[in-house]
Amino acid sequence: MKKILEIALGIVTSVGGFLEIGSITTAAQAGADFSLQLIWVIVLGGLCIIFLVEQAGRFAAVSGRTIPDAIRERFGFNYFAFLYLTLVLVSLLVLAAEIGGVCIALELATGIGLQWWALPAAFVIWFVIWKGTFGVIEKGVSMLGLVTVCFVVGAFMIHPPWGQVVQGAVPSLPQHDSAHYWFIAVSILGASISPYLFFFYSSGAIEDEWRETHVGINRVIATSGMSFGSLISIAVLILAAMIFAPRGMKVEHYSQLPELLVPVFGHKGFWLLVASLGIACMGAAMEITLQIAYLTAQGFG
Amino acid sequence: MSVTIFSMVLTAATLPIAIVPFLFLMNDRRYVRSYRNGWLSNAVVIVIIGLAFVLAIVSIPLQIFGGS
Repeated sequence: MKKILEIALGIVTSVGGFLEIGSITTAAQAGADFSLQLIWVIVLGGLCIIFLVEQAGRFAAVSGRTIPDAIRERFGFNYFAFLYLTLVLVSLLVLAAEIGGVCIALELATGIGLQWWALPAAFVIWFVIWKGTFGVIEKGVSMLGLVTVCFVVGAFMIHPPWGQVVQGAVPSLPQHDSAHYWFIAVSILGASISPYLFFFYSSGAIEDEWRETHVGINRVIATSGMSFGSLISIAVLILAAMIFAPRGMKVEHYSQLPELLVPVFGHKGFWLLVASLGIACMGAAMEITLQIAYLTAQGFG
Repeated sequence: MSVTIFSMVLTAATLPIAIVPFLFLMNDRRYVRSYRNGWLSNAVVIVIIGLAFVLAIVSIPLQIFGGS
């Protein structure tokens, strides 16, 4: 019984933490610009992340170390410093984007300009991290993150041509706009296989004190969690493909995002989008911040 | 929106740096003992690294030519 609960919790954590501004944005653009054609990239990214995350979890469970710790030990400080700097720089950029996502959600909700929300949002994130324990943050945010399941519900309710959806899951070459096609593909992969995700997963494993016995569970959690997460990204793409692509609309501004859910959910759709965006980005922002802290602590001893 | 997409592309570009050491770790008995990667896991990671290298090289030009 306890194992089932652990598995369920692990999956929820993985799903809730999967979607963030990067996956939402790249999936929406992909759907708008290339209809259902780019689904295979999300599938590919999903498969990659499943393998990476499973290994990250297995490594942490079996070696009792986190990955940054082990890298420093095995490869020496210089390489680690180089890795560290690169990761921190990119993480900061992504963090900015995530906080931006929270601010956009707040702007959509209240009409108050997003720049006013930047400091309060950052403050709340810092405060929660300071006061909360890892477990509470991880699980609390992930539970809330389940609101993003609304995208999956929406994707079903909009009745996409399922035959074409399946076709989109098979790799294809673009018929037009090659450079743009591959650009979006790359951005989707970057959004899916974010290094922070898999470092964070291994930190989580250590914090939850996984041991060898967890290897089997880890496999289940990693596979299911990342699969569900990918499904949500695909759902966003489908919605964008059904709503934006036929009208030739490009996703250029965040204010367009509610249009993903409004046709299906009506006025509630607006608030669902705001909640999804805000929570997903808030969660991601916290995770990235924690990850930077972990990298620093684990890497420098 | 472009900051977001750009940061995703950058993430893709920096993947190799993190994953290559990881591949070594996953095969190092000192850390993972009997739980070393099977041939499939190793193969997948190598493919991912290859993919990541391609992404790293390709992402900047694509940002210039294919970016929104």
